[in-house]
Amino acid sequence: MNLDNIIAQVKRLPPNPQIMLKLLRLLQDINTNPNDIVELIRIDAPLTAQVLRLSNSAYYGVITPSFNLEEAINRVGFRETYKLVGVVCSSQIFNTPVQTYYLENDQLWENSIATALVMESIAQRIGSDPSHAYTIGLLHSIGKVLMNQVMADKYAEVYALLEKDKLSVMEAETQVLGFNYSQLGMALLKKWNFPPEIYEPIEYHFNPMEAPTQQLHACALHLATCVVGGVGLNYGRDAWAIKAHDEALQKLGLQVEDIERFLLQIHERLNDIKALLAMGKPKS
Amino acid sequence: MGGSPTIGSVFAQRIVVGVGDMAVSNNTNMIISTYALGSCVGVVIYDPFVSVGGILHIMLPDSTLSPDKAAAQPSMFADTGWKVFWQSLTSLRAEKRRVKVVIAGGASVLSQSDIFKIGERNAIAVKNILQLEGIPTFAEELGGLNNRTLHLQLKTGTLDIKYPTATKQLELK
Repeated sequence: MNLDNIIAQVKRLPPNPQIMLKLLRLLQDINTNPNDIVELIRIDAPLTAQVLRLSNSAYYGVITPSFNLEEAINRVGFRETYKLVGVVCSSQIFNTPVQTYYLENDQLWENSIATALVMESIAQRIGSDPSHAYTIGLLHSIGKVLMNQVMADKYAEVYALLEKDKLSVMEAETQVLGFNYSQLGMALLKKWNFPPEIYEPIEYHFNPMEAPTQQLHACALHLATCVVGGVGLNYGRDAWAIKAHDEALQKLGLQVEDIERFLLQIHERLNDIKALLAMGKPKS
Repeated sequence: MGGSPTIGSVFAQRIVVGVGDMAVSNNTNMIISTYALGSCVGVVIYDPFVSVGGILHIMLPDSTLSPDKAAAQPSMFADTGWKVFWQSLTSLRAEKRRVKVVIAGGASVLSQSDIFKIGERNAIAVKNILQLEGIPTFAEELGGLNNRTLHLQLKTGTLDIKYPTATKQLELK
């Protein structure tokens, strides 16, 4: 099955978050000049306005608002700026109902932001790159948006396998379609020139031990999906059709109790997530 | 004007119970709801004699994980949550011998994995507490692939359990 051919059939591709890719490169480079980041965001006027608005919000405890992008970015910091850009980009991709998976309104978007935040916490815990982890969490469901457009008519069969035969969503999609949504998402991100550090954990998040080079973040995403479900933010008809692999926990050097602590952490940030959703919605 | 309807009787009011939270009431214009129970477990209790009801939405089975958190938000855990929930219900004159109890939620991943048995463990923790208290369950809607949303109408004792594809209705009268 050629995934590029499937992508070619998608009539309305989600907007390409190239700005995230460029910012991510700048964040990884220790020689980056702060002005490079300001210049990159400034090119995009609507994005500049959104970043200013978000950075001035009560979420950051701002009392005196700033109307200058440079000042705003310096105040919240580069990594936080990157996350704000992520909120804006993900809103354009995920803030839509995805009927094929029974996802209403902004449920997929909420799930994406929650997964990004859990990924960031896991990365901080295991000492891996938090910005990479955040990006992986944010974009991990992009394949669902594509499936919704090109494969919707096949899902009666997929759900029958889920509910009658107790297959996981990965197994059921693979059986019916020959591929699954995490592979389709991978193919799109690859096409958009995202690096393997981002697309490989997404491709292997259901079977993380098979990831050839990015096992650690594939395991982290595997775990994050479950944690996000634990606070009720994994929506849809396939919400729990996952087969969990205990080896993922061992690979990360974590205990079952750590999962419960991640649950408590993300629960404390539920209000932040709601606040980000409310702020990140495009003004119409 | 004895015959004129009050605002409350025309428009039903809703309390939304968040994750790790609870609500009880004896106001019969009230609907108590909780959304997207995944591995969390919702405990619904209704006493038809006094029309008192409530929902407890627990996230974790045992408060020993974080006593500080349990002190700040007892409804997060099955053990500490039960205590405050039952206390609140009895303060509105709910009685053990009359209450109807439904437990719902506790979805788990498909594989026999240690990673995400939290749903199952939440359900077991709640069932153990009810057994200790000597309160039988009226219905159990546990496990499975889907999240559940609950709406309890205090006037009628009707409980709606919503799934992505269907709604199941239980009468707790």
